[in-house]
Amino acid sequence: MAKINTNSNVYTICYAAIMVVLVAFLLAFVSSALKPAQDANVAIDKKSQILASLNVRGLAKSEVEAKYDALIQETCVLTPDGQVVEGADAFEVETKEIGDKYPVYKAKTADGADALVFPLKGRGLWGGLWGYVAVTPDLQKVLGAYFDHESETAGLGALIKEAKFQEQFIGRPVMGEDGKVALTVVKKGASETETQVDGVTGATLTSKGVGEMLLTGIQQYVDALGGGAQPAGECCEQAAKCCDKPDCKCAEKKQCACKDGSCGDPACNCASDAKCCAREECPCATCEKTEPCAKGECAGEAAEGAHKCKSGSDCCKSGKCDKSGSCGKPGCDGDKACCGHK
Amino acid sequence: MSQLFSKANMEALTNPLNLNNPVVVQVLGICSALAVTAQLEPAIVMGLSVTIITAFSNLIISLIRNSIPNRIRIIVQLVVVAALVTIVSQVLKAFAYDVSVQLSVYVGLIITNCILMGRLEAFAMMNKPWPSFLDGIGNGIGYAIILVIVGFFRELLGAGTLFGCQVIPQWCYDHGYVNNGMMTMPAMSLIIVGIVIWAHRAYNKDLQ
Repeated sequence: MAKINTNSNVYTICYAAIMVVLVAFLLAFVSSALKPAQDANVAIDKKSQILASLNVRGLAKSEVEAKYDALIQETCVLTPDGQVVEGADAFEVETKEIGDKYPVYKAKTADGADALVFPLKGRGLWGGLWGYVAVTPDLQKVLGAYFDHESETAGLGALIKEAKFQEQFIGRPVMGEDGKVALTVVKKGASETETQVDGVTGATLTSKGVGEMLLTGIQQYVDALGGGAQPAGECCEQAAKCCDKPDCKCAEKKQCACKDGSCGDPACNCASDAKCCAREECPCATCEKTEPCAKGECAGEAAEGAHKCKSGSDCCKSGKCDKSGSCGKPGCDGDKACCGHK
Repeated sequence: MSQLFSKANMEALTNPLNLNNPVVVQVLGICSALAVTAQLEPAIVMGLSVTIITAFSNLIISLIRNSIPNRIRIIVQLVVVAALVTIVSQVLKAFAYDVSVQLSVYVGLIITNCILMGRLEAFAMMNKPWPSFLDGIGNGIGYAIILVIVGFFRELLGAGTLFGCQVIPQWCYDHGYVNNGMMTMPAMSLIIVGIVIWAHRAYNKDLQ
């Protein structure tokens, strides 16, 4: 083999050029060959993060898909002014797009409570933060939370990723006294109200970042969802919330996917909508529970006037006959079930 | 076979563990020792990754050592290391996602780790592939040992935990013990490394 001068200029330039091209091809090949497997992993990871906010933690990779499909019922993407983006998939919305689009997941928590999950984004000390907060459909209470980070300090800021930190949020109220979102993170030990959650000691800026993300992030969702008083869009979550509000004009909700009838609407089918019957403005002519309970049908007087139910037994257990002695038995004080006794 | 584990080769493997330790004797790779040792687990992950990457980049550079133009050798070494780290992190992302999430922060730190460049320049450029590979493993483990020692003390004294599990009993906290918040700061790992170097030199008189 002829001796090549490895120090000549030509050799050096050729060597560098070939090396760069080879490495570029190698990296491009590896990247494109592994992309599908990586994307699948990223999707599963995102799903398990959403599940963590619903208090489903520690699932094996193979269980995530099934659990996700079981718990997530509907998703929609809202614009900042509360319009539903047609044909958009909430799951496809990337973290960096939050702010232009608001993906909302309607789901059940681990113990079966209805929840809305809001993806959030924020900034920590070194890089981005993101998280998922599950709240009750009336936006008043936190059901669960999950936070993650790009590059916070291990052992300090990175602790926001731990379940121990996140579980502090369960059961906290979202709103302050002024009706604005007040849920935030404060220095450990400095919390004065229920909406102030203890931060991580030694990670002040990361904790502040999480607090800021919650304050502004959730408020944006509340605004996009109309805070309850705005005309409803088509989004099911909005509708469900609106139905619970007496001051909400139900005409605006006809188009919405309020599954159990559209309360207050004359066409409302109360047979399938117990909630509707409980509402005062619901015309009872359309309900099947029309006649008042007659005396004698129930053991207690107090039950008189309550709506008679189809079977006649429900109204007797309506909880109104809890007066002691209403059924003549001793020890029945406050015991609704005893009213069923004759 | 006996050639593979000859005395010289074994020294390439075991020397860096003690008398030629990359951290406490050569004082290389200190920056990453600061960054990842607040807890034990990332310290071990980082130690393992550096071991694997050092071994294989040593091997590759040693294989092509005679063809590398002298004037751009550092760049060639850097390209090899960077490509290797990128490929490994891509493969992990596809097949061991959880590990890759843990490692993602350290990828940059591995590429710029002085131990890698140091070993490539000092050993792999002038030795055959097999000894170079052993040298890479030895240096990686030598580095990992120090990281684990520092991580052990920082997590134990800083947070009262090991691998995230509480080891200091609540009883101690009830009687006035407090975690040393200083230990979670990067500066304390320098001081611990200093103490380790002190102990190591006190024991090995010929290093003094």
